[in-house]
Amino acid sequence: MRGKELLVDMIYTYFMLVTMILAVMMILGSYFMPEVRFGYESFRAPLIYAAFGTIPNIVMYAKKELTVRQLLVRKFIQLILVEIIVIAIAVPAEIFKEGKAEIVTLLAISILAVFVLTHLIEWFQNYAVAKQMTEELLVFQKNHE
Amino acid sequence: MKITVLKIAQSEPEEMEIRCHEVTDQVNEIVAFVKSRNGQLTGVIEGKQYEVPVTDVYYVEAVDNSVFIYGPQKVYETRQKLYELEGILREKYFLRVSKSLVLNLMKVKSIKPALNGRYSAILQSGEEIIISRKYVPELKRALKGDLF
Repeated sequence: MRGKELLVDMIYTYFMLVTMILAVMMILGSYFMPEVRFGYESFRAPLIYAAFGTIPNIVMYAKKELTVRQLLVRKFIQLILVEIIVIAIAVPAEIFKEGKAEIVTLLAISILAVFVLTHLIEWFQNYAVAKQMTEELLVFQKNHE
Repeated sequence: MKITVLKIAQSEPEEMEIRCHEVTDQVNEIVAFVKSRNGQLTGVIEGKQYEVPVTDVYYVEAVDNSVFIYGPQKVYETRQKLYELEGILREKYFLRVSKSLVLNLMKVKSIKPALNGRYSAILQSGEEIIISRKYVPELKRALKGDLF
């Protein structure tokens, strides 16, 4: 992935992450901590976490076309970096002052869930595009036989 | 080298003759170019020259400083540059799908998603070719008939 592609990818990932973080916060929060109530400041969290979570996309930058193996390795590094960055930002936050280690685990699982969901959505979108291209390809081949 | 173009009557067959002191690489390049315009690519395997019909070619790929033609059974090396072949083969429905590969769209069976916004072209031979995301918009335009 090169410069311009990377930038477009980061913007796309950012907005997808904001949505995914909101969804995961709602689902996991209502299951594990249904009694907790938030103020307007909680709207900031998905925006900030998504911004920092987008930074590790830089590891996907490559001047040459990456092989599938290289891509998988970089994706794994990207996931680890997202986990480290987001947890590092969350540590000074109020929820950790009480020393709840399980929240760190919950956060790590949430990050993994968002990461997997983001890639699943992207894959399904690409699958639909590929299906359409295959249909167009068959028509193209028929027309140019 | 002196170049002469002679217009002939419709009844006469078209012909090209190169008169040279020695068959150099430059002469071979000219011959290969003319043949490729006529639907034939010149490929080399272990020093032996072969004529490969363009319609049989699956794709053309540049590896390091060499360019290879991938046919149904064999892989041939060619002296022509990838960008030259890209230009010549475009009218035969070949399209660049990555920095180093020009693909024959008529030999693609299907397209499936690959990782990271890329796609894979499954060829009639079963081989899988990566389509870089940079070239996906052009492929879409080609399939809609906007390029050919």
